[in-house]
Amino acid sequence: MASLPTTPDPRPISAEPDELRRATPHWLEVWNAFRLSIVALVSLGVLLLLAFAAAFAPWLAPYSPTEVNPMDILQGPSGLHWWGTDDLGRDIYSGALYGLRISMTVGAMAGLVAALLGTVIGALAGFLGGWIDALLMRFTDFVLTIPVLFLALVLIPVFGSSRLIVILVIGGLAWPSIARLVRAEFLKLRSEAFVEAARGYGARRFKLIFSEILPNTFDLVLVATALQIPAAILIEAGLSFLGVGDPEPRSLGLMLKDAYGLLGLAWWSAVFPGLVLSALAISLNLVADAFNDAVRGHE
Amino acid sequence: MSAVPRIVGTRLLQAVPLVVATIVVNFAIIHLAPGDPVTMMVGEGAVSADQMDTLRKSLGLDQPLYVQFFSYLKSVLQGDLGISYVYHQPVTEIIASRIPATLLLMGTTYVISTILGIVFGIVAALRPSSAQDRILMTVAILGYSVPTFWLGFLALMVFAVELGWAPISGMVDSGLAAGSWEYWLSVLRHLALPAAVVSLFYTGLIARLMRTSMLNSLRGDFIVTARAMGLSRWRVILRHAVPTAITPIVTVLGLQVGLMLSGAVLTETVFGWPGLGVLTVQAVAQRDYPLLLGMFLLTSVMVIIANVVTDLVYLAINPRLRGNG
Repeated sequence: MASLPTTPDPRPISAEPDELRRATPHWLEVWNAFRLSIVALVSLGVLLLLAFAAAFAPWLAPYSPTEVNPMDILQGPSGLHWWGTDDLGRDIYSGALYGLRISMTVGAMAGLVAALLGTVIGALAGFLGGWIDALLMRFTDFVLTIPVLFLALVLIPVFGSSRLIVILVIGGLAWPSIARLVRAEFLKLRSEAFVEAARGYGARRFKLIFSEILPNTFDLVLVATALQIPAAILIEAGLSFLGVGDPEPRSLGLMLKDAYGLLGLAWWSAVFPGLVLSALAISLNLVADAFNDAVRGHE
Repeated sequence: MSAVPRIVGTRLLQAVPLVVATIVVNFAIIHLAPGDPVTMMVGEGAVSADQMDTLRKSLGLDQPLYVQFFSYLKSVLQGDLGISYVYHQPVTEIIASRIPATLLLMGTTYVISTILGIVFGIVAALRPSSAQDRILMTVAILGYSVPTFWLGFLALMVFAVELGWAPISGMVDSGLAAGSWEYWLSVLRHLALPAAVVSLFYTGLIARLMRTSMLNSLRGDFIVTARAMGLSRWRVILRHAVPTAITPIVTVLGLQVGLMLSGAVLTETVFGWPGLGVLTVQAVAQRDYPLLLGMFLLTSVMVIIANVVTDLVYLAINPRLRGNG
């Protein structure tokens, strides 16, 4: 934030064009565009409900998610066990609540990793240009084609299965679309008047990146990240289904793995955790999509 | 036109360092992997320390790392990926025997989802924001949001277990003469469910992209011009807008080749389809590193090839790019 003592702070100069030429709309405008879609509003409601359930799982769950109860195995849905129990007598509803927590945590953290990597790589490529840009974009294209689930399946047993590794592997491969977007914004913004003005006042390169260009890419990064999160959640669930996901003993993917072993014996053990996982991915995708339309619609 | 061979050459040359990098990563993984390969091979405490040393020497594991790397590189280039710990067969042979099954399942899905995705994308884009657009696009999002392995699992519960219309697992009933009419009918019966489930996912993905691309294409000046010249609406759409819109989709389709392998892992596991996906999952479970790394190498090379081919196809259908590669 510190500017060179010999040059005036470029901020006051850039402030006005910044307001006028913002590439992205105000949040109120985004919200006004967003709420026009009933599907988007319903999805947002479902998503908030799921977030609430995940946050308050310990209070909402009637049983421990992992408690084995030999007297209560393979019970169908009832007043006692709303979503039934599995072959070890574990309560499906309680398990799904805790599983939702894991899915949301891994999804959000992987999204964060992807957003950071994508922003840094995209910003460097877009700002520096030249051969660095060419090289970084070639690399980005390459990462985009890596089959994430497949690579994670091979890498995770090698590095050891931990939540951090799962997050890093999924997030570490989810950044290319974000990097491309940030780069495109940088290419567009670097010649904008307010950036030129700051440059004219002698602002240094990294100051330009951090205080002039980057803040303007913020909502596009947010949207692009939001679009990656449901995919990250499904990959984690898929990895757990294959037995190499989050090490927590009860997650939605693991519950589905267990249910797969009970094929034809207990439909509830497969249907409910899968519905929760699907509801999460669907609502996230629909919200991200409507959010994307709302942000881009104003360009 | 003289630029084309140059671009092709550049693209191929760019692929070489990627392949080498993959081999280096592969080698690194072998050495990063927990546990010594010899212990892995023979099992903990199964033989004496002396015997272990002899085995290590015979495998060249006592050599300096760079010597090991070059001998690894040499054998990989000769198509030798080592012997599987579990199957005691050459990795290349095991992998080769599984390729047709994966190719059949993924090829079928690829064709179905490409055709349906493009058609749905066009239909949605022709009347943006209409009911048909909203319904198609919401269904498309549902298609790629619902986890395929769960959907596959539900399909098995309903159509295989409850109704008995489809087989529960595998690719073909045993005891049928390969290549006979009954054989292929049985393959078709096994293929239907997994192919339908995976197609739903990719159709959704492609439909969304095609819609966006088609909307962009319909906004182009050339469309307005063509209409102004008096060409009929359908002629403009089919002869001008669609071909332009499909061009960017080609890139996406190229990317799907790699992603489909990810899909194959889960789908094959759920449906017991005897392809590369199931093989990989087994190799992970059994810590069969030579097989696992062979799969890793194969996948990387396939992804790189798909990248190069996509670039070239894109070049072929988009003459504007030929000048400035």
